[in-house]
Amino acid sequence: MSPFRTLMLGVLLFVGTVAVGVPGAPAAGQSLLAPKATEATEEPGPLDKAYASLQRFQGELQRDLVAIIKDIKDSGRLAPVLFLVAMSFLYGVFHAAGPGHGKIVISSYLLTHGAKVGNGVLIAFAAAFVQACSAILLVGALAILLDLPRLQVTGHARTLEIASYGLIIALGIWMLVAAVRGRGCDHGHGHAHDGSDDGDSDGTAGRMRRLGRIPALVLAIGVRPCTGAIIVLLFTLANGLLVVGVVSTFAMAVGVGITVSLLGVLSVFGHRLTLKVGQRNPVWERRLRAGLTIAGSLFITVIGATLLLSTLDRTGPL
Amino acid sequence: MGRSRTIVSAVASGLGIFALALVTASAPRQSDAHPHVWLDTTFELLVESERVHAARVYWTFDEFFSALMLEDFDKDGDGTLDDGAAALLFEQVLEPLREYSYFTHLHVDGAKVVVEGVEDFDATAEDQRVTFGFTVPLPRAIDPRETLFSIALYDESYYVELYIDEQTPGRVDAAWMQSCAFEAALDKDNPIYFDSFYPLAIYLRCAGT
Repeated sequence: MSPFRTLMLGVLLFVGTVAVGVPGAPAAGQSLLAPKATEATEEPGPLDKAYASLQRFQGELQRDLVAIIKDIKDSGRLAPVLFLVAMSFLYGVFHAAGPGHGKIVISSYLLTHGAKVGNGVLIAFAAAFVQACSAILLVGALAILLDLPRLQVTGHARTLEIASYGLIIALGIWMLVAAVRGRGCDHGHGHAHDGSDDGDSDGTAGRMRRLGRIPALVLAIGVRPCTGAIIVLLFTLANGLLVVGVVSTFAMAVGVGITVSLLGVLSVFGHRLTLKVGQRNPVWERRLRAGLTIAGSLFITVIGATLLLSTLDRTGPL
Repeated sequence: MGRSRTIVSAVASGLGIFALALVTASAPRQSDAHPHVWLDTTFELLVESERVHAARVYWTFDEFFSALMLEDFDKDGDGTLDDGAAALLFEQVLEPLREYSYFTHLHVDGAKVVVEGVEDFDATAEDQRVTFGFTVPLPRAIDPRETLFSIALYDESYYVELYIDEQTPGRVDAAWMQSCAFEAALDKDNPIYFDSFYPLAIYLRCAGT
C-alpha cells in the first residue's frame, strides 16, 4: 500500500470514529472509540462537566428509583409502578450513554463489518434484552434458590463478566480467522453494487457464517448482566417487590437498547461512509472491506482481552 | 492482481487500521465504566504536634448498596449492623480495594502517597444507609504550612461514584491551622479515565504556602 492510501484510510477511519463517538454519546465523546479525537480539540474541562452532570443525573435517578420503590411498598398502590417504568427507562438511556463493553464491541463490529441498519438496531436491543435476562436469572438462582449472601450475588456478576469477556475474545478470533480466510476465495463479482449493504462480499456460506455471528455477538455481550439491574432486583427482592424489579429491569433494557442502537446505526453509516472511498475501484473496495474486517476483529479481540485483564484485577463487590 | 498480493495488502491495511484504532482509542484500562454505586464522602485530617499524620475518610453508601449490606449484616432487622459485621464488611468490601488505594488518592508536594493499608475501620448504619470510616496514615507527618497536601476521593474506573461537598469537603480540628482552608480544584496533574478528564482534589492551602 502506498503511504497516500494508508493515510486516506486513516483519515476516513478517524472521521468515522469521530462521527460515531461524538453524537452517539451525550457524554461528549466519552465513547472509547473517540476520547483522543475529542481531546485534541477540547479541554477536558467542559467535557468533564458534561460527564459529571450525566453521572450526577444518574445518581439522582437512582435515588428517585429508591423513593418510588419505597412508595410502592408503603402505600401498597400500584400507580407509582408506571413512574418506576419511566424512571428505569431513563436510567437505561443515560446509563448506556457512558462507556461500556457492549457499546465498544457493537460499534467496532458495525463500523468495520457493516450491517443492515435494522440488524444494527436488532443487535443493540437483543444484547440489552439478554443482559436483562441474565441479571434476572442470576438473582433468581443465587439470591432466591440458593439464598446466598447478597454481597456474594453481586460478586458472582463478575464471574459472568469474565465469561462475557472470554466469549468476546473468542468471537474476535473467530471473526479474524474468517476475515483472513475470506480473502482466500477471491470473489470478484460486482457484489459491491448489489445494494445489499450488509457488508457481505461472498456467497451463501459467508452469509451463513455471518448470520451465526450476530447471535454469538449478542450472547457474548449479553451474558454479562448489568450490575445496576442486579442491584435494583436485589433491592426490590428485599422489599418483597421482586416483580416490580423485573419490570424495572426490562424497562432499563429498552432504554439501553435505544441508546446503543443509536450508536449502532451511526456505526453502520460510518462503515458505509468509509467504503465510499473505494466505490469506483473494485480492487480497492475489496481491500478496504477486508482491511476493515481484519482491523475490527483484532480490535474486538484486544478489547476483550483488556477488559478481561482489568476485571481479573478487581475483586470484591465494589 | 494476484490473490496472495491481495491477501497481503488486506492484512497489511487491516493491521494499519487496527494500529490507528488503538492509538485513537487507547486501550480501555478499566472494565465497566458506569457508576453502579454512589458514595457520599467526607474526611477529617488527624493532627498531632502541629503536624497532619493521617486522613480519616467516611463513605456513606447509597440506599441500594446499603440495602444489600443490611440484608447480609442486619439479620435482626433493627436497622443497625450486627455484632462482628464491621470485621466482615472490612474483609469483604473495603480490603479488596487495597490495590485501588481504597479510592483515597493523597499527594504531598505533588508526589503520590502510596496507601499501604487502612486503620481503625468501623461501619455503622443509620436511616437505612451504611457508613464506613477508616483512617489512612501518612508515611510521615507533614506541616501543611510548608508542604502542599491534597486528597482526592475517587474510583478511577468509575464503577463507584464518590461525591464530596465542595464547600465543606472535610474538617480539621486544630487552632494552629486557622490560616488554612480546603480548596476544591481539578487535579490537572493526574488526569484519569483514558486521560480524558481530571479528578476533583481537595487542596489544603495555608497562608504563606
